[in-house]
This record gives sequence, C-alpha cells and structure tokens, in this order.
Amino acid sequence: MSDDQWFPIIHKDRCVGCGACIAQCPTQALEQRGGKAALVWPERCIYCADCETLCPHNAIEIPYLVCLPTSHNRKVS
Amino acid sequence: MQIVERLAELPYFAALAPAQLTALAQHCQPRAFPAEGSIFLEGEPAAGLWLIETGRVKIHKVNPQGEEHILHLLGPGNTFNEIAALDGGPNPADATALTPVQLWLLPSAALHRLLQTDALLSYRIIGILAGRVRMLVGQIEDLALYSVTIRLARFLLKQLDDPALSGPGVTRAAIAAHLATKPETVSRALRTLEQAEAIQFDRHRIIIVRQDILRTIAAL
Ligand code: SF4
Ligand code: SF4
Repeated sequence: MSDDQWFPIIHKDRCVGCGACIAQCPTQALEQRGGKAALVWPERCIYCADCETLCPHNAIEIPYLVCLPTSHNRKVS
Repeated sequence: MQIVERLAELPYFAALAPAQLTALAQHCQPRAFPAEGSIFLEGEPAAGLWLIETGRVKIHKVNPQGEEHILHLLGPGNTFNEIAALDGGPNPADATALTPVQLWLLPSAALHRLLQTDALLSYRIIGILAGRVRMLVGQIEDLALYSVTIRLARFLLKQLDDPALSGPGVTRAAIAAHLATKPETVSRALRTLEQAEAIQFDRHRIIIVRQDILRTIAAL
C-alpha cells in the first residue's frame, strides 16, 4: 500500500452521524456527508487518532504499519 | 553531569544547603552495569538509594505464577529503591539494566545519618513518600497494563517476522482483540513502549526503533 493510502477508515454501517469526530478533529479533515462522517479532506489528516478514540460507536479505525527504521525510508510510490 | 548537580535536581534533596549536598555527594559511589546486567534482586538487603546517570533501568517483579511485570522503566536522573534505602528492609523488586548503565549509589547509612540530623529533609521525604503511596494505590489497577505491554511487545515483534500478518494495516481494535483487552489499554501500552523508546510513531507507521528494548520487554 502506498503512503497516500493510509487513512482513517470510517465504517458507515456503524456510524450514527453524531458528529463528535467532526467537531473534535484538530484539522477539520472530517465532514458530514449523507448523515454520516466522511473523510472529506484526507490530505489534512495528521493521523492523531482522536476520532478513533472518541467515536462512541467504534465506527472509525486507524490502520498502522509495523516496520523497522530502514524499511520506512524506502520510497513507495 | 556532576553528582552534586544530580542530587540537587532530586526533589528529595532540593531543600539541602550546598554544603550538605557536597557532603552527601562524597558518599555517592559510581557503579556501572552492562546491558541486561542485574543491579539487584528482590529480597536481597538494600544497598542504598540508586540514581541513574546514563542508560535505562527496569524495575520488575515476578508474581507467584512466574509471570514478570515491569513496574517502572527509568532513565537518566531517575532514582530507585528509595523505600528499602529508607526503611532498611530488603529490595522490594528486581532491578535490571536495559542498556549499559552508569549509576550512583548513595549507601543507606549515609542517608540515615543525614535524616537524623535534618528535620526539614525528613519532612520533605515523608511528603514525597506519601505521594508515592497514593500513586501505587492507583497503579494496582494498572497491573493489567503491564501484562498487555509485554504481550503487545511480542505481537509487534511477530509482525516484523511476518509482515503479511499486518496485511493492509493493523488497528488498535484488531490488536485489542488479539490480546484479549480493550483498545484503550492497547493505546496506553503503545504509549508505554513509546516512552521506553522501543517504538516511534510516524503517521501511520509504528517504527520499531529499538528491537533490543522491545525484545527485553517481550521476554519478561
Ligand atoms: S463519532 Fe463515530 S458515530 Fe459519531 S459521526 Fe463520528 S464516526 Fe459517526
Ligand atoms: S486521525 Fe486526527 S486528523 Fe485524522 S481525521 Fe481523525 S481526528 Fe482528524
């Protein structure tokens, strides 16, 4: 997976559109779309994981890659 | 750093006059241990108060089931074994060097002499110890965190051996399910490993910067 494909995953089936994550995201990366949270501005996301932590319905998941210092210097396109 | 300066930085001795600090510093003995070297064992008579000059130390305990728990991960400027140094009892836990370490040992006898002659210092130390007792009461609830931290270290190392395991990315919820705990505990365990300088976060990457530290924690 290339670098620019790592983003919070919003499970629409679990999201109830309460807006808590949208209000708390420090970079305003999230917005409401069709009554659900959506990562409308992915380039703003700083991967702070606040949205994942605070969502009361566990609707957001932040994926991580476990790696060594050398492998992360490798340029992926 | 000079031992006098180190001592002056400790909350215990902040009230001491420069002459008292110098007198105390004269009793401090330098000690060095290699990585994984045992500094002391639980139950042995306590040698005194230890102060870390360089390197990292873990304070750990083995429960009756043979499982080990890390109680503290300490670094430069931190002290340990003050309780045993003060009450003259045995060491309450094991202390082991995580990296090569340089330490200062303030023998119990020197500390006791000072306490007998300085009421203000005694008062200060009582205050600090009372604060520790409060903290320990809170930490009892954290025993679960220690065991999760150890299992998390093992989990992360396993990801390295088999990158396919983390496939498209591993989430806190997935780790929590794997370790039979809650995502909040995983977050706290990740922070513990970060503070131990075993891992670093770089956006979506959990970088294992010190495999040796992670392996030491994992082997507990
Ligand atoms: S906090 Fe959770 S449920 Fe609420 S809008 Fe965000 S994703 Fe949906
Ligand atoms: S990870 Fe942080 S920056 Fe990214 S969407 Fe969630 S709250 Fe916003």
